[in-house]
Amino acid sequence: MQILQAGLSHQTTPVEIREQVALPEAAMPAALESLCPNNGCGPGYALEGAVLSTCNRLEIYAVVDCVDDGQRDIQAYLARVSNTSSAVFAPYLQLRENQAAVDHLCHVASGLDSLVLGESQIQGQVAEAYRLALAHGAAGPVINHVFQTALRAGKRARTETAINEHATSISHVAVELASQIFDDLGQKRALLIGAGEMAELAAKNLVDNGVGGLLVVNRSQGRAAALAKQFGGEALGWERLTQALFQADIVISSTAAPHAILRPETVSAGMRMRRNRPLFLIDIAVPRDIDPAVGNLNNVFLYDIDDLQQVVDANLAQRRREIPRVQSIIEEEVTGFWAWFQARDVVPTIVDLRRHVDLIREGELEWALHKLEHLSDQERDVVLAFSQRLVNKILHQPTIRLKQRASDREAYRYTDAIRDLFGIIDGECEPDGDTDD
Amino acid sequence: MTNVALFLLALLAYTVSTVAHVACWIGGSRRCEKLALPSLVVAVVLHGAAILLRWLEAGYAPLSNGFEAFSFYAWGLSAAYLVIGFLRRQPVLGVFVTPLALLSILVASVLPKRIEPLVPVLQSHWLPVHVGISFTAYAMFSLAFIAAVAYLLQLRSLRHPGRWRWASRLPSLEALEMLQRRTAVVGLLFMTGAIISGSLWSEKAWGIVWPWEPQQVASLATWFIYAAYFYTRHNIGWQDRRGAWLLVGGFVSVLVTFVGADLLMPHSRHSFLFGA
Repeated sequence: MQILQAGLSHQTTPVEIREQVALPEAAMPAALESLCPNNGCGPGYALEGAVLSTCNRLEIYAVVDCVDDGQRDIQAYLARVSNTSSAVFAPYLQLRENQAAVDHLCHVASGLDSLVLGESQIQGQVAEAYRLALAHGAAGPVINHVFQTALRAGKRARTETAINEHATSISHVAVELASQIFDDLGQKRALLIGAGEMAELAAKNLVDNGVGGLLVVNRSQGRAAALAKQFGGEALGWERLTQALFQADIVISSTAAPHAILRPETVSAGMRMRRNRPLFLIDIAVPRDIDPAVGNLNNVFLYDIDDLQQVVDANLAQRRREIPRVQSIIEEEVTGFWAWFQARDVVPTIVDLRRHVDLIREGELEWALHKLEHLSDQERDVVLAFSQRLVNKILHQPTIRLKQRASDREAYRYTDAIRDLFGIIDGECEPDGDTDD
Repeated sequence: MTNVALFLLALLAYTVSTVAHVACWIGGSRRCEKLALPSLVVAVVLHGAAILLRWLEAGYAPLSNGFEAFSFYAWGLSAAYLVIGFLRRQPVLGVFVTPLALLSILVASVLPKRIEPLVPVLQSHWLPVHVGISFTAYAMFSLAFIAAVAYLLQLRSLRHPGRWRWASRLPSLEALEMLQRRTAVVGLLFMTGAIISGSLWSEKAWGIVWPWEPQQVASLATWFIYAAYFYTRHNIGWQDRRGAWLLVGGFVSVLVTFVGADLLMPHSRHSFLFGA
């Protein structure tokens, strides 16, 4: 039994190819059904499977009997469900087996394989892929373990390391800075100076993050009113700018003015009115709207677009430094998984061992009976029984011992040793036919 | 000497908690919180039991010498932090509280721990009242100081975004400012109580309300610094770094009141800290 993974991800595959093979959400049930109909089995089907489909990747996880057939089938399957020819994606397709496949899913879930390093959305997407596989009968014990291992690795990566800490986009950096100043954004009012496209984006971001209220000040009253209405805020006339500074705690300025519109005198007048409560200013206009000297005032926190970008860069660098720690978590989880996976191989190993020895027995029995043609039927039965008893006696202890070891995490050492010593090859498509060694 | 054994166990728990808090902070992970806070709770409980037991063994409130004073300060600070942390859900300041408590308890641990007969001047019901009130004030002022230091660090991280990253994980400026204000006001109330109860005790013991003891002068100075903090905060808008610095100054004054006056003027009536 083998675990296979076939994937097309943003790391290797251009978007033109990814969009051709992408599986929309609605197509997932059918795709899972055709991966493992009636819980798998049959040629061309997986024993178990799961499909992870996001805008950045399409990955198939399948548990199959043998690697070579499985790889061929999985490509055919991918071509079938995505309605493309396998020639389209074959050059980009990455195939992984067993430990490498599980290791990869752990990397994916931890966000190490993501476009934005460490992002946490992927954890939810992996969980969703698992849920779908369960719901459509594609997941079995192995897929269960693979996905639970990856989800655990992802969760540990985010709680035990800082891979997911600190914002990696300008808007999130702004929100993070705001939360370093204010206790509860829901109690705070934001003021937008300017009502252009940038202001609209900022307004959406602020409202999404639960800001308590919104004020809009713009040279053109009509545009201000429209924006205010869209987000349930209040539009004020340009002449009330200083007063608005008194009412708001967060200011985002994005006008097209050619010179600074907020000077230290204006802001410090506003600060006196607001009894020096903290004021958070973000200047996303180029050229800048707010005189940099404003940032020197007590309890005034001023950032321009470059400041925010610098924070984003520093945060990403910080996340990159966490990669080795995440990798060691993944290594731990994959080792644990592999021990389990090998341990559940105890029964197949026993079956293989018995079959292997039985084939030898049959061959040797045939040879002996051929030499002893004069034996009576009764005597032949004794010889037959002798061969069977001999094999059973020899295999009795190893069988019992292996079964006892089945629950042991180290069981794979024993199965590996037996397969190695007896020359039983795992994952062969045809049973080992040779009898005389 | 069971109380000393308990005290040493508590010291161990404080050490564990401090190490866990600091490791948590440096590691940036949330896993060690499982150890950091519970071990502090264990420390406070053990330590509380040690103090109570010593009270029973001695027959008087164990607030009469250096060991007892530093030990009680560490306990009061940690207990106050736990109570406030529980109310406000701001566990992150433990990284400052635990080292301070540990420092105090380490100082205590090197001082003589024998239970001695109480000097006559301290044989009074005023002892637990006056010293208890004073130490509550000290604990509150210490928390205000910690909130102020955290505030100044968070401020630094906001002024240099992306660089003072470790400080950005502290509570928000607003939350820290509120914590400063609340702990300082409680501290000021208790400090007022400490000065009044001290005067009453003094009147009873020596027949003089205000003997200009060094510690009395220091506590009055402390009182004025915190009063100034509230005045400037409410009237001239010092709810920024200036207010925080004032609280840092206030804490220095608390230290002078608690330790300094005793060291500088070893023959005053208050000097029982280092075994007069």
